[in-house]
Amino acid sequence: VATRQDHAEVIRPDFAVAIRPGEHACCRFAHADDRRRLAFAFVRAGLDRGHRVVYLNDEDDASEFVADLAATDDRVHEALDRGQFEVRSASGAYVPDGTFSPAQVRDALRDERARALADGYPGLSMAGDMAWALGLAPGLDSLVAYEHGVAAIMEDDPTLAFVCIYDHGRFGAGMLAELVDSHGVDVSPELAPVGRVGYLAASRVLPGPTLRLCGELDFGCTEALGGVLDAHYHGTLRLDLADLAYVDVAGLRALRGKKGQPVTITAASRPVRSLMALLGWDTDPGIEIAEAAA
Amino acid sequence: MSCDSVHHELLVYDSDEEYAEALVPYFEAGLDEREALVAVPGRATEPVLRDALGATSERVEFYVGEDWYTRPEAALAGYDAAVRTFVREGAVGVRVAAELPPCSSQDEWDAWLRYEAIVNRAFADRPVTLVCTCDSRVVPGHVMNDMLSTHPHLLSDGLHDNPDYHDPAEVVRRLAPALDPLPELHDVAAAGDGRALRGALWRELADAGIAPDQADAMVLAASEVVVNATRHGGGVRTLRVGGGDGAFVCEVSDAGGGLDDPLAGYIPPSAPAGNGAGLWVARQLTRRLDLIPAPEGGLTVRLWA
Repeated sequence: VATRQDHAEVIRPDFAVAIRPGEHACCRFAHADDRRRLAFAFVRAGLDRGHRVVYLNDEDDASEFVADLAATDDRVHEALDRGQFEVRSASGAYVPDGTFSPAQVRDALRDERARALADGYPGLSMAGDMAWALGLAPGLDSLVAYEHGVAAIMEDDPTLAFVCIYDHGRFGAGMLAELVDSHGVDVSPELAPVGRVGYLAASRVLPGPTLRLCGELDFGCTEALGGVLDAHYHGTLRLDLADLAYVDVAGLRALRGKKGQPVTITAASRPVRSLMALLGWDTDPGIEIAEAAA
Repeated sequence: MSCDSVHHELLVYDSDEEYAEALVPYFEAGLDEREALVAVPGRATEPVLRDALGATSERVEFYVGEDWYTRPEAALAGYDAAVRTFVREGAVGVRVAAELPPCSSQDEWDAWLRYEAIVNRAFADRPVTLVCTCDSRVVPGHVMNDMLSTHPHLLSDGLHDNPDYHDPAEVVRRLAPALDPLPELHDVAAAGDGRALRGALWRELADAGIAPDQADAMVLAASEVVVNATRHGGGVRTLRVGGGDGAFVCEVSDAGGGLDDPLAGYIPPSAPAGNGAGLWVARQLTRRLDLIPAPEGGLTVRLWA
């Protein structure tokens, strides 16, 4: 009996992100760790797509962020060296001369994408931390106008993936309620436990919302996911499972919660479709599978 | 042992007339009851059945035996899906008459005889009636004896209880295949989370030259067995794999209390008696799955790609 030591690899933290190219996403986080996890995952997903990746933020120490990110991904330093990846000051980008001009920032985003394309990248993945806007007075109106302006230039164009990161505690639910609606996708704070364990991420696709899961939904993730569903989702759950690369029996069953809640599957990847068939979900009266997911 | 809750009948015939005389009233009774009617006849009996049924044959769905009976696991899943679908579409039940294609070896017969035994549990308490037809001119005598032991009822001048019926688990145990000698297996580190385990298995499967679709199936099947070992078997003791030339074997051993049910994983998870969905999935996704209880306790599950 031979033992293959050569397959013993260093296990690195790896996180999924449930945001697709062409989407303008809102990430509302309650813990700094969750913001960092999303930023790591978003940067790495952008590099996977070959995009230019820009992270705008004042909250993390840039060199510390880069060092920690590089520890999870060998490509990071090379990407920085060749200008594919940049970490920049958020306030420098959003309020370059001390005042916030929604139209100016929106145009700057459009220019940034044009530059990425001109430099030969298939697109731009950009994440911006919005903590700078806490200093805006009165602020909210111009911020809402800005977010709508960004939504208007996105148009599902896969050359741009853009995430606005809001600190849920500091902005407050009331202020964010209005802002969330201008985004196509929302990574809301109650979803944060999904993905703290395992390679799985969740987001709400707006309007609707539909719960989207991305990554690998396995036995190890079921407790966290089940907890979120039981606490926050009641009645029929709409699910977009097109981005699940792997699913096992325990994972699929966790989607119906402890009580076997009714679900509507709006989209499903091939692994999800084949497991649903093996478990007889196609004829379960509590499960509706949209044509696109069958 | 009785198994009253399943309508699984055997019709032994030695002429076309005898075959038709039994099946025509059988199917016609289903017409009144709004049952779905399914026939999986043998090559020779298909025209006989269509002819004898006359206009009723329009109401019967005919499946081709060679396509339907590829492997026992697929036939179980096929009947399960058919029953679920017909019932969902409004049928009060499903009435089937089917004939196994002739086998070319004893091993093959044994596999299908085990299947006939399993059917009694897999379709217990479900709205399905199955008549298996057996041409005594074709099926060897010793196979016919085992056929008798796997059907609780006989269809011959009316329906009768079968005194030769045996407990399905006993039949499956008695007809279990010999555990083949294995190619040399090596240990794979089973530490880490599910993703790490899947990664290790994918690399092994790629090294063994297994095609991606088949590798995906094996990874999910083995992962389900690992989840079972984690949940019920006190954790994975060893994970061993080996393969090459397009073949692959994976063995998961645990140190738990063992599993003394040869039918585990054969009962559809959507059935009233359904449990062990992980093992059902693992059986569906692999060419063969052996449950090997260790004499000193613990269970080894051997999966074949």
